Amino acid sequence: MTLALTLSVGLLVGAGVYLLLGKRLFPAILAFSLLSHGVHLVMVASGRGEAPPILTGAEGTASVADPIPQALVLTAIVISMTVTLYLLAVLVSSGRLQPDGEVPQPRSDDASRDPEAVRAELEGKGGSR
Amino acid sequence: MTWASLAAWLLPAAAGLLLWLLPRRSAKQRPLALIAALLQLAIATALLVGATKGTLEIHPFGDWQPPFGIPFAADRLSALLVLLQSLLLLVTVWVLREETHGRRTTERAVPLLFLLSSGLSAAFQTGDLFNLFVCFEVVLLASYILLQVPGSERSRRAAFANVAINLVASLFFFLGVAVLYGRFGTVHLADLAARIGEAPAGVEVFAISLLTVAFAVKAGVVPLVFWLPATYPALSGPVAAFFAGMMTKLGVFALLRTVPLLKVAAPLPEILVWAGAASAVLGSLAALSEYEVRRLLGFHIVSQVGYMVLGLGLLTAGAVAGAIFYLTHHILVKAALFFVADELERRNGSRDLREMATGRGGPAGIFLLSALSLAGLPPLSGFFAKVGLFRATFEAQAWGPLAALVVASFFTLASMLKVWRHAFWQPEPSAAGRARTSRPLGLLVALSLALALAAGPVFRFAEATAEQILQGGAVGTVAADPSGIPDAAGSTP
Repeated sequence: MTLALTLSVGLLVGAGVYLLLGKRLFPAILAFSLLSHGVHLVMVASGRGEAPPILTGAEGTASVADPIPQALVLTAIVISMTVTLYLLAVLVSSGRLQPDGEVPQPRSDDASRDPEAVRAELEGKGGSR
Repeated sequence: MTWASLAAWLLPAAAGLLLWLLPRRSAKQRPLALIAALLQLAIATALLVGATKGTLEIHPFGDWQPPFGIPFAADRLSALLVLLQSLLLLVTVWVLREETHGRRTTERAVPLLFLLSSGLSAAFQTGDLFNLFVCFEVVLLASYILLQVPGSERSRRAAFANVAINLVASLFFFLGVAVLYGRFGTVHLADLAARIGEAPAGVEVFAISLLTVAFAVKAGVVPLVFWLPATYPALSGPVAAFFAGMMTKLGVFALLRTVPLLKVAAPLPEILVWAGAASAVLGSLAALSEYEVRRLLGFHIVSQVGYMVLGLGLLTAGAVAGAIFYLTHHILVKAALFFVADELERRNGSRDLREMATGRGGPAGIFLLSALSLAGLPPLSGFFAKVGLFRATFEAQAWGPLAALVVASFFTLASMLKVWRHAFWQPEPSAAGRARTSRPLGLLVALSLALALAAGPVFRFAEATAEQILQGGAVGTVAADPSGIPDAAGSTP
């Protein structure tokens, strides 16, 4: 079981890092999902079978799993799903970022931009939505 | 003060949701937001008064005792940061007006700022490592959406990089928590501190290093910093000022909370000192080469976070107190500078210093006072902040870092003079006319002047805070009472 968990974590994190290092946008978003789940598995694995909390001292606790990591992972899964949805929404809402396009690089200045557009943006009139 | 400790994050959360649900184009948004921000400021003041009295009440949710319950408590550090945060929220909501920043920005940014503030208040007070992670995520999600508020291509590009880096940092954080749980069976901070004992070794050092790296990314410490100057110019102006004041300080806070508590092993504080020194020098040096106001100021944040992290890494009472005083001064002054930058950019219709000419109106005065304070000229708050840190560094005989701090101060002054020369030291523009001084900025500058006048008492407060942190803070007091902590091995019923 430990070996299976370890291999899964390695596989998920390895695939995640590989996709993240690429240049394409959609695989990068996928990479975050994979990486998150790899880390979540580590948390699941950190539950210690010999000490189920809260039931200390009761009979037959040996077969009860430690519930805390599962609660923690559940929270983390919800969070990572929200972030994935946010990234997908960014991807869909902007016409310029194509799914198989490249990961956008942050621009360091306005040098190549239309001065009027910059002015509108600074006055809060930019954007279409 | 249990009620205040809960209200400090429940109120902004409720206010944020309410403001979000208001119909678009509602005239009620602004008055409601201002009332909520004032209320929050009152609560935060009560919290600080309570924390100063020294009676710590810890609120365990559902009356679960450690290590299961999630404790909430405000020690001096929490109360101070909640107060500063509430103050900044009030000023930001005050500055964000439809007439100046556009209806779209105001409508969307204000509710999100309240949600962000709720996450910050909770993060400052929680006594549970995993809960801290959740609070971080609340803050980050709100900040991700705030990044989209300007709706421009530049903000979308900046958003992706920012989200990507913060996500990876969050994964480091989560992995650290998982390893610590696997080792000790608890994520309760005080309980963790008690179990780690005097000298963490092996896998614990690994876990603590993961946490430190995650917090250093959020704080913007060299070399984990490059997301920061790319992000801040893309935000809408007042939101950037709030971010400049609080977001990196969340990382600094997390370091202040965990590094002394988890008794981080020998090389790590040393690394923090040198990373801090490198940030201080490189940040101000990079600022010197920039022409976009907010990018320039963003690099200054890196530099000043370096000062704080250096003080923290020395781990002496004086140095930590210096770092806390510096933090207080930095939040007020840096936010004021970003508000001025927003004013400059809107007036000139450009982010570039070389295209600016403002003349010496109202914002010039605010900029001058803040910039000189940041550089550390004597009668201003930055001077006292730097004296505290320099003295502690001197006493610790850390000559290299001390030299770095001095050099960084010169670069800071030089780059501030550069902004002054381009933006203000110009013939009066004929068309734009003189600027009106906006009152909220006056408030920030007045507070930073008050900080200089009351440097003695504030520094004593910072010293008491540092002592509390080095002893483990509010959460540490739980550990002092071992009867409340059940045995993890399950041997006692």
